[in-house]
Amino acid sequence: MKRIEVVKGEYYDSVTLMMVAKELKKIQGVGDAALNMATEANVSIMRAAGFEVETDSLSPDDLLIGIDFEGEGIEKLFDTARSYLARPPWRKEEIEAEYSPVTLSGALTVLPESNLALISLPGRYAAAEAMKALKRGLNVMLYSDNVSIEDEVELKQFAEKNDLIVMGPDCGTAVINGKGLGFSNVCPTGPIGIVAASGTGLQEVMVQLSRRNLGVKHAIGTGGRDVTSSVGGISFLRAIKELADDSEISIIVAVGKPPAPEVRKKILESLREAGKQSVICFMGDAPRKDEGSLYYSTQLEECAVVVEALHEGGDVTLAREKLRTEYAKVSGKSSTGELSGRYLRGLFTGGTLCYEAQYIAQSYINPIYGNAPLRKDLKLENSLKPVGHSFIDYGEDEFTQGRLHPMIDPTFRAEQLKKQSEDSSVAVILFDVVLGYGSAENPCSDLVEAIRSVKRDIKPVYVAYVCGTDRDPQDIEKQRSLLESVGVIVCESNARAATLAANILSRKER
Amino acid sequence: MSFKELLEDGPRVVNIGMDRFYLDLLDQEVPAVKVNWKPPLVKSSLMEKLKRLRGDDIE
Repeated sequence: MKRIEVVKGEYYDSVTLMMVAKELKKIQGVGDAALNMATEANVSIMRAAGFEVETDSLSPDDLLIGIDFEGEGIEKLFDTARSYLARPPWRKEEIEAEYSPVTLSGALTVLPESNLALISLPGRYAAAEAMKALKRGLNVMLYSDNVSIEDEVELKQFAEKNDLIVMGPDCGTAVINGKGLGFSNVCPTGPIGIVAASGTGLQEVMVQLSRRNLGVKHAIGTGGRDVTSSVGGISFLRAIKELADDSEISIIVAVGKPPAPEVRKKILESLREAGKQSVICFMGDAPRKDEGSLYYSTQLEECAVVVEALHEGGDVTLAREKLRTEYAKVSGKSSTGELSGRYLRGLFTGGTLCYEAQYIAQSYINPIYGNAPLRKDLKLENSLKPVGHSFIDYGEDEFTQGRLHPMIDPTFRAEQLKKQSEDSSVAVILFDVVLGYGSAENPCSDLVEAIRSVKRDIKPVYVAYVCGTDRDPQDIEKQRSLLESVGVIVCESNARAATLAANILSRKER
Repeated sequence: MSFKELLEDGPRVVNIGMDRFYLDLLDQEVPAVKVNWKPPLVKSSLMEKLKRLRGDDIE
């Protein structure tokens, strides 16, 4: 029996709603539970799950609770849902007892020395709250997406005039003075400063630096649109200036997809003026020769390798050559057992990791389709029905409207992993797992369940990369072991995983 | 607080939105306060009019 209850005018964040739904599903007899704010996208999702939703008099600020229950007493379950919302069972008592102000003004009376607002509201509310924060003298990290470009420019120009910064919108990761904000890995603090117009690109560089015992003092995320012509790199340039002025930072790293030409010019000028060694990793860019204090890389691990060489006063060219030799060894391991199928499918949660993997794989196999392809003409018509070699980024807007990001809730990607595994044309599946603050507590368990449940005589070869450090809360060794227990080949970087996966297929083709 | 001061002093955060980000800050011993945020009760057009009449900082 499926029933819906509407709670008028009560707002809860999407993670809380997902957690309550998960708790409800643990109750015997509950077949399904879904809690969503009543936005248009969420109403469609609830209807697709079989719940009858009447939209008359519904507003996006109303809460929908849908429960599927076999037996008597479904009303009690709605009471349980409301009690979980009022007092989440997973939350520590001392935190629950804390006073929570309902406005920014109230928060500033509790913590008057605040210097940053971290905003992760639905996009339609986010810009207004960000402007309020800026007007109260706070810097802003805007995790929210679906903020208009006009609002982004207005916020950033206001911040610039008032000596503040706006990181975002769509900025998932930052580190300030060694403290992680949003999705961030637990890394050592050290002499590296990073500016990044890319979330998982930044995470991968920090993780690779951490594995080389190099720490990061500040990592400033800007959101991907910052380096477009419309925004003009306002936050990116501001961040470079501050990193240049910081005497504890010896090397500056700039990461992102290639900026607009005029923005790139300003970024490079700004890095030259900084007078510090700088490593620039604009993925997908044509390879460039190092010039003066500027060093270039086109891949994330290579970026970390160059930083390491510079930090140790070593030979950068030699370090790059060594890395290439290691990649060649990875390629050499590609002669696996029997392969069934012809195609590679990349199933990603990290947008930049997906981009980098496509960029690497295209040297071995072609064409590669996707929902965020390297060329527009390779865009899939339906991201849920990949064809040929395809790479899917499940963190793209089309999948996160009304659904949690797959780094927070791995369920949907795991379902797709199973589906792709059962496609007889698929020979190799490549995927990422991103650990750290913000990410799911045990991201590999759903993936492993999915792989175990695949019914196919010869399963695909699975190649994965776990982006994390040994200090991340999820226990990286446990996550790796879980994957290896079902035969997944776990690589040491995103680039290595992409190289191996593409080589397995290209060898077959040869 | 300027951006420079944020970098020098380290973050002291007002979290508006997802609880998990707030809990992760506490875990790292970052001074933080969470706003128990609710959507505005009035339609945005009315809110805009009120803002114009009463100044900019209505919450």
